[in-house]
Amino acid sequence: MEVSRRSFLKISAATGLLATGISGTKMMLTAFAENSNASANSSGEWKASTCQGCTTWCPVQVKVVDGRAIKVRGNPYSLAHRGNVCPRAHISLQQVYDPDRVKVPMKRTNPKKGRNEDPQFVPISWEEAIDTITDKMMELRKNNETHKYALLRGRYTYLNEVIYGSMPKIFGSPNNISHSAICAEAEKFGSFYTEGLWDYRDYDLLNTKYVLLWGGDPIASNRMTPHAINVWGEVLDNAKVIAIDPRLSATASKSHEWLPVIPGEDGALALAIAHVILVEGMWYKEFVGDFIDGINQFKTGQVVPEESFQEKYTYGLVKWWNLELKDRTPQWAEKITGISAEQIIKVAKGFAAAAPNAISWLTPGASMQVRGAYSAMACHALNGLVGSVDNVGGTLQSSKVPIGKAPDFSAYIDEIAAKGAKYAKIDHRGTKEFPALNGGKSGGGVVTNRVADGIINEDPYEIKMAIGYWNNFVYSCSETSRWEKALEKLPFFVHITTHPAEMSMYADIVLPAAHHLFERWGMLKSKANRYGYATLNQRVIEPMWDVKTDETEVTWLIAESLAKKGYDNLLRYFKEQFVDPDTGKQPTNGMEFTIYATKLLTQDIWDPTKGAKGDKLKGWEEFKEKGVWNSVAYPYKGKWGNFGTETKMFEFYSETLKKALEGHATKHSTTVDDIMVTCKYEAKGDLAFAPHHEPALRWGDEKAYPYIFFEHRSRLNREGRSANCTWYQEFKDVDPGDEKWDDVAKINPTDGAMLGIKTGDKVRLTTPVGQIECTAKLWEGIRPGTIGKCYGQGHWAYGRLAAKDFHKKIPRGGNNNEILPAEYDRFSGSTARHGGVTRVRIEKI
Amino acid sequence: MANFAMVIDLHKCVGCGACSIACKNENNVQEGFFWSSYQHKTTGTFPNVKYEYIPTLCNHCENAPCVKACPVGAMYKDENGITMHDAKKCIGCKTCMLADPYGVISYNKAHPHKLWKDNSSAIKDVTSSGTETSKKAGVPIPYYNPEREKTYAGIRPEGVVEKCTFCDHRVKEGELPYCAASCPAKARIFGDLEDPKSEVNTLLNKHKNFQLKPELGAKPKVFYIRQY
Amino acid sequence: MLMMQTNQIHEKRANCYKLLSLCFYQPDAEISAIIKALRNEVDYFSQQAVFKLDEILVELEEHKENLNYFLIDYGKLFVGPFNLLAAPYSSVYLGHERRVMGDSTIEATNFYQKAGLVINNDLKDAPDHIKVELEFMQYLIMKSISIGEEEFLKLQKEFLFNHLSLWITDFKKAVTTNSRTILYKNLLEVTHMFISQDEQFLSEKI
Repeated sequence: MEVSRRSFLKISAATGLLATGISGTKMMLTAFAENSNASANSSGEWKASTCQGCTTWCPVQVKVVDGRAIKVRGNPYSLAHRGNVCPRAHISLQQVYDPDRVKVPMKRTNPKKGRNEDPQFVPISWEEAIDTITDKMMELRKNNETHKYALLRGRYTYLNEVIYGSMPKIFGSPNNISHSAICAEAEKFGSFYTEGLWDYRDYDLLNTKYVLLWGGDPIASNRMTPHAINVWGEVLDNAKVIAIDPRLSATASKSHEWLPVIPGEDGALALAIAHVILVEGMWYKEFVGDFIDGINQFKTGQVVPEESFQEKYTYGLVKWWNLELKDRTPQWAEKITGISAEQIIKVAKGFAAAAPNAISWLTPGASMQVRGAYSAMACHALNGLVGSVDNVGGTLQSSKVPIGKAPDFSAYIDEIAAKGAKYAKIDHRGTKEFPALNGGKSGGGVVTNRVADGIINEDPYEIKMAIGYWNNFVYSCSETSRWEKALEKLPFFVHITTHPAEMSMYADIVLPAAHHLFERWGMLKSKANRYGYATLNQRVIEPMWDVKTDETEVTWLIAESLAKKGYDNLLRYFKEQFVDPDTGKQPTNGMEFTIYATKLLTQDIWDPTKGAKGDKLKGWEEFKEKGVWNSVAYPYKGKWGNFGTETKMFEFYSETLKKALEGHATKHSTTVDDIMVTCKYEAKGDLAFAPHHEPALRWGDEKAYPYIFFEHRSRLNREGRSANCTWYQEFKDVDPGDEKWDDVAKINPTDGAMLGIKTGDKVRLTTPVGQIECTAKLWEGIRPGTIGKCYGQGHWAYGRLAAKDFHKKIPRGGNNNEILPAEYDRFSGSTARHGGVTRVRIEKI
Repeated sequence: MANFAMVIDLHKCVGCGACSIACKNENNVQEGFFWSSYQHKTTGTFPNVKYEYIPTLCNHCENAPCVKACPVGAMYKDENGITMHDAKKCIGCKTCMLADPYGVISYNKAHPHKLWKDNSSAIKDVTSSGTETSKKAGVPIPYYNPEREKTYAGIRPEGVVEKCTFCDHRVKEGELPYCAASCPAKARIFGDLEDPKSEVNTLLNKHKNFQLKPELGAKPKVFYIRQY
Repeated sequence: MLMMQTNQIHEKRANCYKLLSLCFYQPDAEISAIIKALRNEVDYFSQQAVFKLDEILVELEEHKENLNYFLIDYGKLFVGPFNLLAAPYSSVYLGHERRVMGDSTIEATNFYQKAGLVINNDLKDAPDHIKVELEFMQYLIMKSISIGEEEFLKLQKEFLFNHLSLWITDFKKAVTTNSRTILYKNLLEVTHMFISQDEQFLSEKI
């Protein structure tokens, strides 16, 4: 827009703006703007928010100029990441301003649902959208079928307390289903059944001397990525870094040694390392204890009397040895893992020599496998052996970050709701086949990917309506064809989304969501660099489109509409319980509700009278301005002797797991051995309670499917939501082995030569559950006999860059989840997307 | 005046590409153009494999071949040793690109940022278009950085070349080039070669260093220390 | 100079700077109105300036159906694309080489910052364009009238003596040599006269 003089003359004529004796007349400036912030060097302002491009959840600042977001950087107040962000944060700008965003609510006009059906979406008003939704909800209430409502949660903020935590229960449904089981539950299983922590750990990188990365790629993806990048040079100087991964990952390329393990055999490797540590007498005595006579009796193949060993802060070491470790020699592991005995011994000795400043860094790669629960325990148990648990340079829990829970809602549950919420959940958690033992409880966790089967088979009953938000299960859950079928069948589906995602294509109503980093309120907690922190999502720009906050604003509209139709419990709960903690005012609209809820749940942090241990804030305004609150530094060894396990000790033989499994067996009137078989584990007896070897389970026989397929993450993935950004596509080759604007299957050149496949060839990948097409890339950084491929491309919807042809639904490359079978680690409920869960055939096309 | 240079610590660099993405953000660089870029290679055979990554950008050569080649003085050295380009003078003859040994100059053969001038949409009436979004933002690209205009065309028009300016507009205000500011590994160190106490000089004295294609005699001022 | 109160002179000065600034935007249908408004302001310092502006008004009347006549001259003199006949940027005259965005651009920008101003994002031109520098003077004057701060008088002097007045003569020459319209030839005469006079005026102030 060229500056116009016209406006100047017009206004000056009307108001006598040319100075004519009235000194101090307000000036009309043409080329200039008065800088309100007089000392500022540059125009614009940095405002705090949070990046949720991965689960690191980095405190960030957004530069806002004239109401536009133009840059993102790390929040300098953050002690965890010290003002750093990884490349993902920048890409978020292209998400919020993506021309392919959903601008307004829409409804499908083609009642037929299917991948090849055009939904024929047309724009509608928010009123019409909400009215349609609540009509369906009222119908369920009328028929006492409230349990047939499901809420499918994807990524979230802690405001999910509203839409996920309370709303389904007040409405009367047990089906608030999270995505967690496609994320990292098996990893958390590993730390829970050893040290009683169902969570990710923090890692004391700055003080460590040895890092064993189990499929971990911290300079590229989960977790604490910016901090890891920031200190990686120092880590390499001070510590030995070993990357265990079938692929030469970004971090493997910046480590001292790369151990290209056969996918799914991480557990065997960990057990052999444990064997060497014990045989060599290198366990950390201060933590683990010692033989009473001080003489090491751990000799390969020999049983050790339990009473000869006096443990300190651990439990069951000798049991573990006798049950499992005594035979797990490096030579045994060499055949299974593809890593030489010599290398295993060297790594084990190096790792133990660095005790207690040594990290065994467990990730989804080494745990989200069929039977991965035990690999997870084995990998994490190594931290116990070297005493690095809760110790300097080791693996840490988090300082307390006092984010609150939603106010009690039991008073708002009426008879219909109480009855409805009692039904079993649609995801089969806690059934004999799916124990999902989060927190030590049968059915304590979620089995996200089973929801599709639940819907398809009406098992245990039909789902009549579902609301999904910030998720895309048709793309992100393995064996996607089941989700396609499930959503074709689902009579009424509402998708709250920023983009026209694959899942949106099956929706009856699509609601435009506010972008988490720029357009909405919320709060999160996480940890890194020994600091726990709370960080705010804030609306730092006025949204360009008619979008609303999924967790609270949409919920508020639904509550208002339900109240008009005669059911006001939800609205009353919101109004009466979510009052502004500063003024005591009740919310009168969705935005006030959102802000009061945010204030309420973070009050313990910003309210100086609450005495949270960490940054001292003067109040809400200061919290908003800073955007982040840091805890005190995590104190070492605080958990020693006080772990959250049954024995309060670090368990090598898990009494905690024993209790959980026996509880599950009793519930189903059977034995633990039977549960093991039902859940596809091979071990019997006491072994079920200790980390042990379970052979990798793979779909497809070797003849028909000669290669092991495995997938990995991209350092640019914003959880599978980056592909519609040019900055993702044209920098895709920062993932070692990958190519710009493409989706490649990485093949070792020796395999390529055998198959007659060259780099650049179009290939088809076929597994027992599906096939996709992509480009071949011969690359030395891949283990022969395996095919590796990054997750994140292969969208057939989501936008016009993500898909090769959005209108014809032609994907750019292929989505791994179309060829990955819906397989599980059943004890954790996790989807087994790693560990080479399927074999694959590759053909040139 | 100063003589600005950059040292890139390859040991600290993790090859994440944040510098290059941030550069596009700061300088309103259109898709397909890279003022900041990288080269990578994988060598060896399984399992003894090495992956290397080296960030690249304009070397701001003391003896810049592109400056010598430019027939109209559009490519020039400024008083701070930065190789600058004047989009107003540029006649788009591309002689500089031929002379440039590093391939860091791009030519706008068409109207830039075409995605933001595209009128079509994914789903009629419910998703937006490039034109609608940029119009609504009131700038050519919605995350357009106006600060770039302080010293150079905010977006370089059709018919001229463009390249890295060491973020001279930031440097003049006492800030680091945005690639250096955005590097989470702090692997890019920017400073004045004339100042004996500058960190660039300290690092160059402390470590062996190399430049790209030093044999051409252009005296490039991007120095690399240590190994990826 | 007519007998006037100091503040009245300041207002006249401010108006002259503002109106002159507007004259250096691309001409449109309002150019006559601006010249007329300017004519009513310049009389306080020079009848010759009034005469020069009257000449312009005659020419504008002559070509009032044909704005292109002026647009072409404006384009060739000030816009380019390539060979600007009279670049309207301080950096072209004050730098060592003829280039836009040289040091003097930064100098100008620094002045603006000192005064608490930033360039309007909608301005698609360099900050050292004559129209920007003239408007800046108006701003400083208005500020010193309204809040009476010594600071803004000082800034006026600094900016005028050390920056604006240094290149206006060369700029005028370039326009006089290359312009084909009375509009721009005379406009530069008037601008030059005004600035010389204003230098004189300010140097008499403490």
